[in-house]
Amino acid sequence: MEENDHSIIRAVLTGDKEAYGKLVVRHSQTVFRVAFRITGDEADAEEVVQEAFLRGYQKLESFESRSEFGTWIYRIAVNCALNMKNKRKPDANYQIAEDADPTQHQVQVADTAADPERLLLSQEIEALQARAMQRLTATERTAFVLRHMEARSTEEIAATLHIAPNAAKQAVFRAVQKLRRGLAPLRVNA
Amino acid sequence: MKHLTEEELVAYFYKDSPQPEHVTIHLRKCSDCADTYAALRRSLTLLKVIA
Repeated sequence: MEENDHSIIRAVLTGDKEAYGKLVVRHSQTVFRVAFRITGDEADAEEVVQEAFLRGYQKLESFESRSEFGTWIYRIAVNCALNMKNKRKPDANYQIAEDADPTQHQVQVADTAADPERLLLSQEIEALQARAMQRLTATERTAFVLRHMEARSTEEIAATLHIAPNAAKQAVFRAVQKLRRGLAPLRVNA
Repeated sequence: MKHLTEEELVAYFYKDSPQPEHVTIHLRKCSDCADTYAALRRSLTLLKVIA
């Protein structure tokens, strides 16, 4: 039978430090996924994974056994990723040009209902999306990633980011507004 | 008829609306809001989920 996280943690805390590797193997994929979604960079995401598990190891004694290790390390990773985005900063203060003419860079695509998967493979669309994501602040991007891509509730986002639920909701809303503006050049044909 | 705000529609999209029934009923009655919501859905659906 597979060892559960709590028994591994007990083993680590009683001296079997090597056992921590099992937790890393078990949860690193989830941690990497959210780190990559937030940072948008593979190398940064790898760094976040390492930092998150290191912090997790250092704080393992404070881990409360009534909670899930997966949730706990996930939250640590989100905060590491957020810190990294804040450190990188250039996009955090990016201002959207209000007078920009979206038709200048208009990309014409067919009706999304026809074959959304195929359409999303378009490099132009991906580039537009990447640019739109870069226009978000680190908090907005993180809140949006957690809501839209990780399907986390407002309460979970708030708890992860240590902000009020209403602030989390506002961050998601601002992100959606900016992303929609960024995607405006996409003209969807009916 | 008072139209729904973009914020209300975003909350509805993410199933985070405090009064989802109210929004659903309004969307059935109001074509302006229904169009706005359809556009919102379209742009959010376009956002690729990064693997």
